[in-house]
Amino acid sequence: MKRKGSGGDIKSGRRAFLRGLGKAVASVSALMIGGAGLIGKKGASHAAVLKPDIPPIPDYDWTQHDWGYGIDATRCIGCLRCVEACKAENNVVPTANHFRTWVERYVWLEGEERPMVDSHSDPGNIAASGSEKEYRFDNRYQGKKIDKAFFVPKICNHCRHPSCVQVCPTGATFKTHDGAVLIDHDYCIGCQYCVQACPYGARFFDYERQVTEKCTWCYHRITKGLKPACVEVCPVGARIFGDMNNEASDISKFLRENRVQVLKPETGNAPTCFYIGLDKEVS
Amino acid sequence: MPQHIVRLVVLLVVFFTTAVTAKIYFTDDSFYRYGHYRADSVPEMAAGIPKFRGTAYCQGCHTERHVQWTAGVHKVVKCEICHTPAGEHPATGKLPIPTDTVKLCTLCHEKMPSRPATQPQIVVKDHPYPHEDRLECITCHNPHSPSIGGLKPAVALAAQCAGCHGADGKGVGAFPGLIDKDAVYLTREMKKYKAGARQNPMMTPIMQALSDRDIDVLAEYYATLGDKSAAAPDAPEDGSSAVRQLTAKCVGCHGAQGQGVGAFPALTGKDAAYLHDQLRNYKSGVRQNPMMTPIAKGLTDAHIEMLAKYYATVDAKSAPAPTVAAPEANAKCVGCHGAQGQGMGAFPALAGKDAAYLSDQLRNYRSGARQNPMMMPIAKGLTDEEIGKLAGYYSSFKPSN
Repeated sequence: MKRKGSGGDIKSGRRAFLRGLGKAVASVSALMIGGAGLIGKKGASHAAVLKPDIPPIPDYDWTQHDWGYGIDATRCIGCLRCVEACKAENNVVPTANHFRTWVERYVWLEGEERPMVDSHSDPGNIAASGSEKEYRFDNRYQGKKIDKAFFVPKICNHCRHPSCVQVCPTGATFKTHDGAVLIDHDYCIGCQYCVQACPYGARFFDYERQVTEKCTWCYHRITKGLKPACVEVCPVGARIFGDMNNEASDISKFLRENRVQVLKPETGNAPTCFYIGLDKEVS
Repeated sequence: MPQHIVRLVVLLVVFFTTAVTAKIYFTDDSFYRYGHYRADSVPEMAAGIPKFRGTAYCQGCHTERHVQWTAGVHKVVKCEICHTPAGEHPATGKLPIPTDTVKLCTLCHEKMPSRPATQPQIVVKDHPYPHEDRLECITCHNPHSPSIGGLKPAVALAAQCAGCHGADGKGVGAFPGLIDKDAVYLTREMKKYKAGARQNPMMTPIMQALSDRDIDVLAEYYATLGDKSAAAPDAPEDGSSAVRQLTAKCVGCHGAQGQGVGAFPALTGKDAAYLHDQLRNYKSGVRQNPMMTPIAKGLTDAHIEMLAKYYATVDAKSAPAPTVAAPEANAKCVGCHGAQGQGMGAFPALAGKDAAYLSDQLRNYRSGARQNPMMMPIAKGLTDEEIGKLAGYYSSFKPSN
């Protein structure tokens, strides 16, 4: 009734409304900031990355380490002991198409421009081993004329700027202070964005547990002073692992003494897995 | 304030309060501690228990094996690659010993185009195996400390043991079985004999003639023979034309199968090393014989080796066969003198010997007129009737052709 009366009333009503709206916004913002503490905590967490607390792991201080992985493809003999060791050590899904590390065989037949590439999960290789739990390369190129051939071990690159971590909607995958990219299976919702995001195909989905899986550099081993299982079993020293903070470590020596490269540097992922002996077709 | 605005504000406040409360309630306490993730997941992941324990763990108990392994080129192939991860072994039981060694070894050593040239590789179908029916790498190669050159095939070495311990190594009478023993045990005991720490009139001289590497090969051979050796490790008859041509010089006197004819002794069932030595002796003149000397002089060292190997491995089926059934007491003879009495190594052949000669000798052993630490106790346990039966049995062996 009052509103209908005069324009002044309308004016004062609008002022009261704006004043009320301001108060409401202010109080809601205050609630958001104060009550949730979300923004404040997030700010604090960024500081924590720079000077982090140390997770309670016995005899291990992650601020002291910067792990790195090296692969000397010129040494690999394709025995696939690394693939089997990884599966045994980490209880990886025991089928040929689920693996945290793998070895690719590149073969250029005489006169061919492009290489033939296969890995342990190739049907021919499964047939040669006779089981999906044991792996071996078949001898399909025996007697053929070959220009060039070699094996390339592959593994998660544990990137400095991992695209998988960037896309994870729940914070289930993350980069640790010592360099490993890990997955918290309690927080993984199985959306598989990270599987899509990884430029190296290093992740796979475990359909039984409905979580994504990947190499952890055997985090339970490296935090106890051991080497990852694949490095431990490699009989020819094609896989190298160590602390890049330590001048005397295998990886520091490997990086000092060799001219190394990383896979797909153009992605900007900055892998910490360094190769020697790759050819231009390997990616 | 207008009522609908108040309602809107209340609604917003309720919404945000609920959202914030839910976030606080559902977010793990450790989230954001180190970054945008659950901090507790890091120690959780680090708490896993390693399954691969490393060679230092194995060394704790398998000290001797560790010494042998570290001495060879296979020291880069760690225990758990072939024997599976130790985990809680020994609490959880034994670790497997690989049975299909060809499958295992060719994982690394099969010739493949992609393998670096520095890797030792074989073309599997062209690689020689001493037993065609049982393809195994470990017959000749010691998996813990293999060598590429200078192999002494385990089969030839084992011929020295077969006389007493049985061709299958299962043991005969007082002679213990070898195949159920651990390789480390066998190596240790053989070395004790060699060094004199363990005394035995039979074993000591045999072991003293062996190198440490021969001992390793033998131990490995018997330890891995296991229950696979239902049959004696018969080496295949070498049917190659080269050997056929060579044996043409022998068959005229020693019989088509080398089984011996009249005064010409049997060649079959003899130890390869013995045959080899004797041919060499004829050739060099150390041993003289108007028949053998010119024949042996016409042989090269490679020929001698081929012949010795061939006759040492000729199937016992082609040896002379008895015409009467074996008496019960025969069980005491076959351990050393061979299943067909064909003689083994230092143990002479009985088959085809004269019945009177055999019974005389057994009686002499029994009375002590002939001395031998092995034969005397055995002969003392024989009655006159048994001696007669044995002599009759062995004298009844006639050349099968």
